[in-house]
Amino acid sequence: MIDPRLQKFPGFRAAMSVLMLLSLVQALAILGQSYGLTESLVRLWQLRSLDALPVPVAVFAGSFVLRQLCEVGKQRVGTRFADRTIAELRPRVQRAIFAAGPSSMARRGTGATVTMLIDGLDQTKTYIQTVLPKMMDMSIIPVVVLIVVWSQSWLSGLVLLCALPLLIFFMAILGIAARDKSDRQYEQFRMLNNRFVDTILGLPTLKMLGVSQAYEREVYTVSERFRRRTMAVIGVAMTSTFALDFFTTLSIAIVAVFLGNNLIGGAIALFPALFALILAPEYFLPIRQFGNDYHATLNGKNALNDIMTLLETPAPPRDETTAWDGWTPSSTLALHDVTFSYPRAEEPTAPAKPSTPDRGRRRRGERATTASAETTVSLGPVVLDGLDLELHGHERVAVIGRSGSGKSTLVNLLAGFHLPQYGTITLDGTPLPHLNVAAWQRHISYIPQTPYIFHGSIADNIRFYRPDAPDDEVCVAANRAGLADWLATLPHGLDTAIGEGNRGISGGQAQRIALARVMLDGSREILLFDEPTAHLDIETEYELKRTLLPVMRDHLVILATHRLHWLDDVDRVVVLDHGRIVEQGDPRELKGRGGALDELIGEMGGNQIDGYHTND
Amino acid sequence: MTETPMTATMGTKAADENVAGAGPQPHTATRHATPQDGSTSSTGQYSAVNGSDETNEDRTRPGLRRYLRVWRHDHWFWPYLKQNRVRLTLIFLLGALTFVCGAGLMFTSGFLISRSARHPYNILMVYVPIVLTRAFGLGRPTFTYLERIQSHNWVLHVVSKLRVQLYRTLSRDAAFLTEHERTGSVLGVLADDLDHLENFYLRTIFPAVVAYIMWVAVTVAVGVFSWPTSALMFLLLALVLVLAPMVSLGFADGRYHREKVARQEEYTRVTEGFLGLSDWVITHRSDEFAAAGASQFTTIAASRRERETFERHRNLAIQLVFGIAAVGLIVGSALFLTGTTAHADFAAAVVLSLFPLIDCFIVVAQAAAEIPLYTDSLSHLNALTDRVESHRPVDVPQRRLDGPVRTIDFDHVTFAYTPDDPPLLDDFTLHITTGQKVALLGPSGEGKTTILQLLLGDLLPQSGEIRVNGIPVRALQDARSAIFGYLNQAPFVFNTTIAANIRLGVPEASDARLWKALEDVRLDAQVKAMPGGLDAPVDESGQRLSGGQRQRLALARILVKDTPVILLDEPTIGLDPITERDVMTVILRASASRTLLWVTHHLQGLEQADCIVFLEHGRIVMQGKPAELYRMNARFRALYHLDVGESDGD
Repeated sequence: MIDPRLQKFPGFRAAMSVLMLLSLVQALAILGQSYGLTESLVRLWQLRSLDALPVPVAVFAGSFVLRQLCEVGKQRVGTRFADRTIAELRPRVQRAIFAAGPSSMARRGTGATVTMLIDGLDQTKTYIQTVLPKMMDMSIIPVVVLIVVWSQSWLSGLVLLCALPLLIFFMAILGIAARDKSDRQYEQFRMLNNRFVDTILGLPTLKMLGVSQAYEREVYTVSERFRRRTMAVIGVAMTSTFALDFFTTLSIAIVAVFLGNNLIGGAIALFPALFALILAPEYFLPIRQFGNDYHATLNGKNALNDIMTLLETPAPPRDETTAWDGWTPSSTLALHDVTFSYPRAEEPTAPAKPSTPDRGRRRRGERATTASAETTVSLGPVVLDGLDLELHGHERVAVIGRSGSGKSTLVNLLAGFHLPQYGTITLDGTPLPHLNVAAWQRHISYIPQTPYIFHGSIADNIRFYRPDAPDDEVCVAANRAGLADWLATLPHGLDTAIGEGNRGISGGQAQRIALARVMLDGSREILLFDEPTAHLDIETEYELKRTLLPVMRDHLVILATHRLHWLDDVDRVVVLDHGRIVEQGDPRELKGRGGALDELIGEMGGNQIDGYHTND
Repeated sequence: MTETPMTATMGTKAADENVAGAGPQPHTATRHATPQDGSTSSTGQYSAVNGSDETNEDRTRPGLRRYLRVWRHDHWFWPYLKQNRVRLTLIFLLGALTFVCGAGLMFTSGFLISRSARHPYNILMVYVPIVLTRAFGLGRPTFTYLERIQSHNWVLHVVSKLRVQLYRTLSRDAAFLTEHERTGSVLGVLADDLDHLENFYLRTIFPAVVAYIMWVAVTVAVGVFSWPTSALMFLLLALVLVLAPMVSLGFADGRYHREKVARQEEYTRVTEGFLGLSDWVITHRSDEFAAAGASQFTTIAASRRERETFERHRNLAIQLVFGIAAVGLIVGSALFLTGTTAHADFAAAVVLSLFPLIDCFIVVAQAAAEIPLYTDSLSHLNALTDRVESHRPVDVPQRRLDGPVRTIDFDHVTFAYTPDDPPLLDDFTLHITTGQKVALLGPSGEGKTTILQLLLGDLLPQSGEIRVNGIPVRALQDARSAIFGYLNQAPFVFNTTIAANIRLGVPEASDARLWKALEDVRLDAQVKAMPGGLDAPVDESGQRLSGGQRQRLALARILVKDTPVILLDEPTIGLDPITERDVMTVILRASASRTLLWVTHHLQGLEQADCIVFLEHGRIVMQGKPAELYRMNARFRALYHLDVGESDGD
């Protein structure tokens, strides 16, 4: 019931010991409370006067208070331990996410990862603070109570004991059936619920088509179907709760009737009979409480499992030791026979089917030596297939190709986010298995389609690579990145807050802020762009390009794009097709040769007014 | 106190949506002018839904009155309670019976044992209590079961109706319909609010009503034995059922809200950090990364710790009240039931029946503590209704279009979201005749989409008029779906079959017509290849279709509807150039005989337009046939060269 990995958390043993002690005290308090109550009631039954009551009533009241204090104490201990555990887990999870890197994040999904961190920890807390005390109660209190009941009336004890397997049986059913049922229906269940949101999202479309009113009925029908599904899931759980309840109350009723019969026959005195009856509900209480919270804690259990799995997943290898001083005009980076596939999301046992079988087989055998940590991960189709690429000095290289040809993957590999399964990389003479190298990453700047903009001032955002940069340098960088005009229109200039919840910024402005970052940090000589302008409108793109061109001159630039206008401003173009380089060279020379580049240009349309090849 | 599986799963789902909504959607923030709290600026209105900018003054008002104020003008909660009085009475009755049986079981058992201990000469003397014991023993779980099934079923049924109500309300909400780039977050919040209402019924209203019914029942039942004891019980229960809930409400007031705001903040910070992970990795600042949202987390944890401590102590206090009540019952029995043995046999019965009732009463305080949570949700929904009600457009007598569309005129149109904003359109005049293909270009946020919304009549201009065949579009709202087809960058594909998606606007369309439309958009071969053909399901939100295929499917939908005017709102943004070119070719071919008004951000593919209109600062800065502009206008030429991939300036 308890995740064994929980036991490794600091304070687990202490918390469990205290909980055990408190449960034990509570069990004794329950006995005391029931004893005092029974004794009082027996004296009432004997028609004794008020004078006979103080002692048993005091025993009852004292034990009652003690019992409630134990309850408070247990909750406090459980909550404290849960709080401490998740407070300790949170940074660990964050660090694990950091270590796993962007490619793992992309696979997992940003939303799902946020959910795991925030809601997952929340559910874990609920799980820990609910389950631990209740587990303890369930394993101690019924035993103590049963022993005492048995000593008073063995028949009642027997009834209670016999009810236990039934209860456990139904609790198991409750767990298994509900789990099966909800597992099976959960997806459908969610889908139906999401469908409502979808329908509302589609409302403008419906209105446009003039059918929005007719669709009202559909909303209702879908919701009603959702209701029936939900009721089916709830039905199972409630039926088992019913069974649980039923056997509990029935056992108490049977005990009462048994005791009544024995009393009539004179086989038992009033005190033991009443004592047994009063204790009977206490016997069932911890079990029922545990059953009641079972579902509430199920989510927490799964969440904890997800989190622990993440923490136990080895991080991709990372090279912190290689020394390298940065990219100079004479630097060289050489990729030789570099091959990369994404890990498959499915079960690791499924044999991977590489697109080129014999190459793949060779690779699979040798891969263990290059990336030993990932030997069990099965791979998807090859995305980069035996790339040979050399980059020199302040070269500007455009990587083009159809969508899915591996452009972004190559840029991510150069940034060190993707680790090649095969091939060698040589950086200024140093052979490296991958580029997840601290020294290398210190000198790159990665600018995706939507650059990272966080909640804070524009100046803070520009300072991201150099948090200590003085204001005047930030200002210069902002101006060089072409932000001056925009900043002039803002009342707070560089101090304007941006990011979620604050002033929104456009795609072009985000790109410029990312550029300003690069300019502020002179040590990032390598610029990696992944479709920087594709989503911008043509005029913004035009303006941004004018800012970008001078910056590109004294950097190594790798630009993945399908905007062909960049070709005239780069030194080299690399044409990718299905993960292979099919052509590379000076675009001015390659154009018009009828090769892969021309084919691509042709597919994209070209100048329809003047005709293609105006600048020949 | 029991968390049913439903509420548990719903919680997760709500959280999921939260995340989906919390993520900063990269493209969204840019389009609109700064959110103002003006009348039509949708961005501003929706941010109120998030609750973050509700005025502090409002928050600090004395609790109860604020809640009463929310409930007085309610459209989402009380109406359903009122509508279903019989059903609800049944549910409350079942709930009360559950506890009656629980108490009854202990009562009859106690009596049975006490009476049996007097050694009656015949078992028949205790026959009635024996039967009752069994009956109550059976009754309690049965009623619990029935009550739960009934209440959940009823609540879910109400949820169905609430959803329809939300749908209906939003369908009349201009702000919602015209928001160019709707994020899921608004809907996430609204859907969450509906879930909250669901829990309001299940976790607050039902248990509280049952508890108050039982309060009366207990007072009366104890009164049968002794009125003074009954008075004592009444007062003690008043502490539990009136004082404790009030204190809880006072404590929780504002606290949930603060936690929610901090939580939202945490989501934002963490999501931002995660989206920027690559930048964090190349700067090696794992410690700072790990600290994202940590201060919010600590704040929430501290607040929750206080709350949990309060709840523990409150529950302890309530339990102590019950301890006093038990002692009171014992003393009461001693005083009033020790006259005869016949009376004394009831002493154990009376005292023991108190304990099962604790479960019934103890939940009320917590239920009250959650009222602020639900009130927040309720006020969002009510604010939505109020806004929609107050912005109902003036009814204009609707007219029919006299024959086919001949002209579309924008006549000196000026539009701004609020009077304070600079106008998005400033004295915009455009004359379009039937069959023309007009492209609209201009930087983001320049009101290109607004032009389409004005033409549709979703937005009304501050001055000027938009006319079709000389008839103002305001008077053509009933006919608009027959005049305009609209295709935007993310066409909505419903999670149903291909056929149902295309038939959406014309339910009676024959299969042959569908195939014809699919052929026109060059999707026929792909659909034929799908298992099931026309009846092949489109997976959720059209995930199974690629971006280009979705556009074609949406276009097929418009073609089947056969509208004379097609409005395109950047239908190819986000597509790669080759797909973009394919889609545009298909669109232009399929709409050859129709009028086309086309918002775009690229020049490539515009060669076939009859007229290109460049907007800047709400005015037309360039206008003409593409070939003419190319020859005459250097700026156009430079942009065109850039777009088709040639170096500019030559």
